[in-house]
Amino acid sequence: MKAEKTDLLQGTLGLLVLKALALGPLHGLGVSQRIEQITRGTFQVKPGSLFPALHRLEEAGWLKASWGESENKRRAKFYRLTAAGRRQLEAETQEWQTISVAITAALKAS
Amino acid sequence: MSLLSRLTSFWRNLFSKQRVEQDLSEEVSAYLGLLIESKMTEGFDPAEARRQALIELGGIEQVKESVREVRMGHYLETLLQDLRFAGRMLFKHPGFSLVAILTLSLGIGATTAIFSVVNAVLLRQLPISDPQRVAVIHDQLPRLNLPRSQVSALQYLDYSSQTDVFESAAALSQRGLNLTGVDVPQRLQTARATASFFPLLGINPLVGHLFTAAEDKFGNQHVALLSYGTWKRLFAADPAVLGRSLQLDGEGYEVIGVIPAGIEELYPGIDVWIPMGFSPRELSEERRWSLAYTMLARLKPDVGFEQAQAAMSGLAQHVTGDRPDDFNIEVRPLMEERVSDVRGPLYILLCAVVVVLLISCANIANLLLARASVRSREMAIRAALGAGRRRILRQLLTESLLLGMTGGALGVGFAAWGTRALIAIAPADLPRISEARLDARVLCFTLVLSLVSGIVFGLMPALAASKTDLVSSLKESGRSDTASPSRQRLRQVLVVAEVSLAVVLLISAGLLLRSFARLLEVSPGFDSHNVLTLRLSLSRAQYSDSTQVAGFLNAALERISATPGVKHAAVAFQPPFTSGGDNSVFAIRGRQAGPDDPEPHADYLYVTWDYFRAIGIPLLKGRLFELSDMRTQGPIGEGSAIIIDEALAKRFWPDREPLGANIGWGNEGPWGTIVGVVGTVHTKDLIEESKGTIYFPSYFGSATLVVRTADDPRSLAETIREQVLAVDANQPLYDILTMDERLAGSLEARRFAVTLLGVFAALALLLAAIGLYGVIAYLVTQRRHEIGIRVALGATGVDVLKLVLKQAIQLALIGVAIGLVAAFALTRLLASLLFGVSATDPLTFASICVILITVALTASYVPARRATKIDPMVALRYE
Repeated sequence: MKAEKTDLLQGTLGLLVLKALALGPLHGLGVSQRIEQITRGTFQVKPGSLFPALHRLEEAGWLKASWGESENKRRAKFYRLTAAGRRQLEAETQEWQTISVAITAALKAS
Repeated sequence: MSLLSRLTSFWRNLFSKQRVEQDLSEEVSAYLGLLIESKMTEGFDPAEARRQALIELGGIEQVKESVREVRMGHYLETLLQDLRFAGRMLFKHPGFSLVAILTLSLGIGATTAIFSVVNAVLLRQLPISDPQRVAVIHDQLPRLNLPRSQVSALQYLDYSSQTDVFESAAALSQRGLNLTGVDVPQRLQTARATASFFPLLGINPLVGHLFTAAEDKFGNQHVALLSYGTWKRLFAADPAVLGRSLQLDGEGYEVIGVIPAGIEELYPGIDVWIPMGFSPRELSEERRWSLAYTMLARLKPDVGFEQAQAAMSGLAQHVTGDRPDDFNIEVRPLMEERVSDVRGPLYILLCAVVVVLLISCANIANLLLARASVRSREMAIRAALGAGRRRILRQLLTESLLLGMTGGALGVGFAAWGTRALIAIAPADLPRISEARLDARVLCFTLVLSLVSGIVFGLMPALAASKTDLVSSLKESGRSDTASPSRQRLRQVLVVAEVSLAVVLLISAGLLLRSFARLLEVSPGFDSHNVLTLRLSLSRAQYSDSTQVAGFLNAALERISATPGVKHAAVAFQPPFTSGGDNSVFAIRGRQAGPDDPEPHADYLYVTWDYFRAIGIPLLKGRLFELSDMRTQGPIGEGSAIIIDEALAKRFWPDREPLGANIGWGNEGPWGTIVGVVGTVHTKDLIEESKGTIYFPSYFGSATLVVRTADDPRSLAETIREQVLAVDANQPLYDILTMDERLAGSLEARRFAVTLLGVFAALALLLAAIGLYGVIAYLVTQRRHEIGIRVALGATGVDVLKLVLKQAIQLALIGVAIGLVAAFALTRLLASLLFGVSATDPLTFASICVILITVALTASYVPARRATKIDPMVALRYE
């Protein structure tokens, strides 16, 4: 069970991070909290997966990172979507919807 | 993903590493701070919040490492890191590195050198166009003891015209011609070739033009193509050589072109090419079985060798009718023709040297395993700092690959030297050996070899080392090497493997060495010491009739015999160990042949009267030839003297008196009379004796002078040449060798294989001994505590010695046993190279076992001695 869940995470984590940041810049912890929130607690992203994902997306040019201050005046690194990131989000969302529809249909078929 | 963004990341990751790293550290600790804060808002007290946060984070270093792994250029970076570290490790342990690299470079160097020969001789394409479609056509006449013969002129024409499988065909025949009209008359090796010959091979002239069809006609063929070597030697590579004339055997040949040097690889040693121009006599029906021409054919593009063979076999059926076993025509790939004899021995040598390389790999694996035990703490720390097992594996493999590559680089140096040495000691008849060099293919081979050896010896130790149990390793405080039992077993398995491989090699080398010794004991049937042989060929133009030939030979022999230091001189066509000799069917007067009895068949030799004393063949019965027996008109006349050898006497007169019996070429006579029986000799090698030889007292224009001298025959060579030139100033002598040199020459190929295999076997033995020493020394260190207790409890030095040696002997015995079984199965592959020794010769097998066990004992005696010196107090306090 556990392994399957990780696989799912790896495939969709990038999309979830992009989605989480679509509403505005967040720091790392904020991203994981936002993801937990928007997936209604289904995904709890651990730092071991979150950090590689953030850095991967940043290197791809979809995120931009900068140092800022948290609500409680703590120094933190904030990530925000770039224009390319927004396009990527749209593309991946569409792709995901197509797949999701297809898979749902497939699973319903008897 | 934008390429630009990737590239900037790549650049930043590699070159602003420090900043990137610092940024990452700060980011992770900032995250941790936020996490703690959020835990506190959930109601935990600060200490518990921190603990919870750290658990959730799962280790700061691990998180950072997981980020590093997805970075651009991560692969390259870790590679560089690993390489740097590996380099540092090699420098930090110079003793280990030196032993490992030297062992490996010797192994790789030797393997590369042998491979360069295999490449040159067996693998490299022939320097002609599309060589895969070129075939050599042979007659097969098993009943005449000619399993693979050349063809006749008429057959060549038939074979090329009566089937449709060949695109083109060509014929070639070689013979020597005397070049005169130059400062020193010399013998040139000449080949007659049809006009189709060079186009068939796709060879174009360097200068001038090839033979035209018109020049390839009888009477028109006085044109010549020079080989590249002759062009340089005789004409200093002057392009203006075209149109010059060469005097060959007294006839003029106009130079029309120069053939490039590449042909040497295919037909070495030919100085001049002239057109075939078959004479009417060569094409006459009575010469149908004069099998003196090499036939080449190029198959049509859509025709395979089976199809061509089927077509030629069909043709052969027409000739033989109802006796199909008597005659066949073989279509043999050209490459096969060139290398089939040497392929087996070369591959055996390659296998042997690869075995040596394997043993050296096993040795290095052993060293690495020993080091893995020492480094288990290092590995544990790495794992604790977030390195995954794959990461550790990769680093260890990088280390062994670096070892492998360094060894390979050094090995190329050894190989360069080794290849030159191999060319120098290689037998002269190994085709294309002089082309052996470290070309691109050989270097690729070496690269692959280095990488593969790096993996072979590195993988097992790396797997063993990376499987560290973190907690226990760290607890062990890393002082003593606490090799796991499985790792120890691995080392023992490796040593057993080394020993068994060494046994196989040693037995193979031993068998070959014994064969060689047996061959050296074989008497050739004559006394080869103090005999000089010189070849000469009288030009047919100048000595057209046999009285002239007899006159010249008698005059020359008389002068040579009168020279001080010469005991006997004679001329023969062709004496043993020169160029093969000839054989023929013959008839015995009054012999009743059975229905399925083949015609009598024998080697024959034309000799002058003093031949037997000159070459040292003993007379067994009757008498030798006298001067008055000599014949000028044909070898046999009615009642002329004939001498046969013992083998022939035994075959045809097993229980009767051969003396006085009559022999002729055919049943219609004339009949000569047997006057003597002499000893049987070996004609071309020491392996096979002649199956029967007939000697005729006759002169022959193309012959070998055989001169028995009082002492060193070499010193008389010049005097003899002067005597011959005194009779005819235009008469070159060539191929001047002592009989002992000719005998040694016939053993060259064998000597080559034996020497190399011997060297490889010795190396294998040495490496296996080193391996055994290493393992036993290591075991002693492992058991010093135990041994200390034993000594404290009263064990004597001898007890300890026994304890250690027992273990060594066990390993050696298992290795020897496996090796014996393997050798038993494998040595039959050597059978074709053996002589007078069976492939499972018990003496060889037994003595190799004794040698190996002795060496194993010696190798383990040193560490065993050291074990007896263990001071129980020190050993016990040590823990």
